[in-house]
Amino acid sequence: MEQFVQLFIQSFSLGSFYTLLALGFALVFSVTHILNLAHGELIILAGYVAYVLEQKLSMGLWETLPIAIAISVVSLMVVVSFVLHQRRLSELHSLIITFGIALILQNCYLGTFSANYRIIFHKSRYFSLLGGHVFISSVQLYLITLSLGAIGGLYILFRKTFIGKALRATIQDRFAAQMAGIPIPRMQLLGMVLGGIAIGIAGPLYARVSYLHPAAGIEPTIEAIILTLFAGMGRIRILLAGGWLLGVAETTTAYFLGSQWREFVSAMVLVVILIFREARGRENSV
Amino acid sequence: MFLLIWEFEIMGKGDPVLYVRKLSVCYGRRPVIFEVTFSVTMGQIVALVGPNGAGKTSILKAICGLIRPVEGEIIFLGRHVEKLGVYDIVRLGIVYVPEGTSIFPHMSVEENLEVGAYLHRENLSGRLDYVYSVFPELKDKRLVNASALSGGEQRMVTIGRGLMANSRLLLLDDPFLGLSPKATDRFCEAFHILREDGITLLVAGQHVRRLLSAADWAFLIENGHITLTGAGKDLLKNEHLQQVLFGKVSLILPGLGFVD
Amino acid sequence: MKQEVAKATLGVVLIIGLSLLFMWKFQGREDVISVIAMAFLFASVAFAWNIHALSGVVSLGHAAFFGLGAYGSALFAYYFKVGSWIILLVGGTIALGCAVVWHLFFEQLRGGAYTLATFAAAEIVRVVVDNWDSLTMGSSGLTNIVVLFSGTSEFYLVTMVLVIIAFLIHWAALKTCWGLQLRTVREDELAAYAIGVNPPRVRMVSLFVSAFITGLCGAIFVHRVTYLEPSMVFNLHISAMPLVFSFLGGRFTTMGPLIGAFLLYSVDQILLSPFLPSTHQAVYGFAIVITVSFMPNGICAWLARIPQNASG
Repeated sequence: MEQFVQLFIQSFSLGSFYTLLALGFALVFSVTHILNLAHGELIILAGYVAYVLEQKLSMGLWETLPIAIAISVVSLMVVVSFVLHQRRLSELHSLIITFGIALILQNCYLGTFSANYRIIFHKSRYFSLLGGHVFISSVQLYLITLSLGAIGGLYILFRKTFIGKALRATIQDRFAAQMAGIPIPRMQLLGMVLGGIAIGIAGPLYARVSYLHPAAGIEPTIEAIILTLFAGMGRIRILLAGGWLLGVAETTTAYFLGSQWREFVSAMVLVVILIFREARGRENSV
Repeated sequence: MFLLIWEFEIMGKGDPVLYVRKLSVCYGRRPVIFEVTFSVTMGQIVALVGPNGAGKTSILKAICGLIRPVEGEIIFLGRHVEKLGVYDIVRLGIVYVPEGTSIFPHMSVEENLEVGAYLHRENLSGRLDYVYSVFPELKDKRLVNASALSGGEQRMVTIGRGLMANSRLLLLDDPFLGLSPKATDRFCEAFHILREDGITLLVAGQHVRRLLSAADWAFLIENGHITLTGAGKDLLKNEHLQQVLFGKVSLILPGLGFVD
Repeated sequence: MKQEVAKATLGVVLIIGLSLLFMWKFQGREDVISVIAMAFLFASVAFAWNIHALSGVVSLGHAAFFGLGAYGSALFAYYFKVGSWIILLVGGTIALGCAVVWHLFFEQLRGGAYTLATFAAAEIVRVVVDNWDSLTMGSSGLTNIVVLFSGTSEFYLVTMVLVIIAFLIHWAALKTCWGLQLRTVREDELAAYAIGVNPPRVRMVSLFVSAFITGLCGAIFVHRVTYLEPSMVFNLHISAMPLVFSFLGGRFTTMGPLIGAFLLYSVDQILLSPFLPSTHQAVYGFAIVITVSFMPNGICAWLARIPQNASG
């Protein structure tokens, strides 16, 4: 019983975090229709930034976050605007170009940080629940509060503010939004900024739960693609539900088969989702 | 509505709100509109009729900035707009309502309307009330997701969204497409309300008889040229128009008209 | 058609002539010969990749075929103690088996969805090989793999033959009746059905041919370098290389992938690698970005356009 509660806590925190990982990708895809294969690399970049600041300069998480966010926003804007300014832009095109950008970034990390595996070490504190048999670590609390905080913030922005509604309108029907006088480039910029913030929050957390190495970006990219395809465009609640499902799937696999099979599950889920989407008919493009 | 009355005082009914001079439009290298000249009078319902592919939609799209004209002038309330982008043209008060439905499916009716006021956010509730007074049907469904509405109601949302943008000239592309005759009547009624409130409508469409009888003024477009101009009801009686649009001369049963 | 056959013959003569010229010119420079041989090897992968791409889809997962070919061949040699050239075919066949699975599951996918699926599929293969320790030795890797080529010059000649075969199949995929079928499938699938072409079949054949050649290349590669670990073959670079070479050289020209491989691989290995030991592979990323953005039809078409622009 306690084991399952423990597993549940693990899945819940990891699942919320997956949603945060996917948020940047989903926003960029919804607003600009770009499939950003360099998404994971940008998260790793934020992770490396946090690693340097926290391990080498011994700064705290709260001081690191603004810097990581600023760097992520700028780098995401550079990548996405470069792709947006292509003459012939299709989804396939955006995939290939961002794939190239991912390769460039990976090699830059290799040159700067070497191929070593790195992680932000920290003294985890554990809090006992349910009479002392179940524990929740401070990292898990960070994951849950920061992820749900970011997701909730975005949700409120989408539902309650005028600019958020305009952004939703742009996501749902770009042509109609244009006709309603919504400036699309400005909305795309807003999507990039919000996506960059999500990446900037995700990176420092990623450096705490998983090892950073130059090729580590593939995994978060695949997870982000899975959740985005699962949820469709601009639907945060379904994105969160998908994140929890993926968290459960990966945690149980890690529990029963070992954590090295986690990547296998995510790649497998992606393939299954792609095939099912095709079978269900081409409602959205991709 | 006081906003609309204010416009009245500056521009009287009868002044031209839109003046199009020698407008030519190409798709790629293929010309579709040839030096078309016409003007639209303030506070009128103006119909653009013509056979399929004659260039009705192209004219509307050129006016609202979706297609850049090859040459010609488009003057709206004394300002050249032919070189402006869509965004600036919407800001000036020309709103294009495309064919079919153009709504935000996962937003409520009210949110759909609110978003239309992106450029003019002042007095939002007042303008919402105005839209609900023109289309009372929408008020009951204001919290319903727009995708759950019927086709006619979705088109009301689209037009309502245009009104929210404080538009003075509505460009409607085939607004009666796929509507029942009853719903078509309902829209004609709404158009007359809008006209009373000083909004000019330029309506293109296939439902020629209905359009011409509702319109104050009308143009017939054939192969990118305007071939006939006149009051809507006069145009309806014109033999040339009947020949072009209905493919027959109404000599046999002149009194009975045609079945729509 | 006759003219095309003549051009193909000319191409083969050109390849043989140039490679012999290089061999003579760089006599005693084993390193250079070795780099050119590897360029030939990866050019063959690029030809194979492009044969598949000519059916209208873009794969980001050819590392799966390459790696399976390498692992299949190396493990077969290890377990069955075989040291003859047959094991190369085993590598190709195992890659072909993987292609059959791909075909079964991805047949309906197109465009971005297909590309994403191949991207994930390569990842799946990597994780399985990495973790199936009892069969593949996992991440500790294989060493002392059978050497099939007695020296650099033999390896060089083998890759030359390989690239000629790949070139001829690629030529057929562009210029023969099969090429026309591929073209209709790539440009308009419905129209292809209408004129009696069977698109799933055409696509399947191109995938199978492509996978077999790629697997073969993987096998030849591993019996040259004689050690193997998952991250060596199952990585983004192996998937990226054939794409970069084909785009750079020109996807619809018979020589394109070879020209791309030759230019980029030799520049990378001879000029960049000594100076930037850890980041030189970024050049592939830059090559993708630059070709796709500025010369979508390849460097030859781009070069051919410059004088036109200057005059007009």
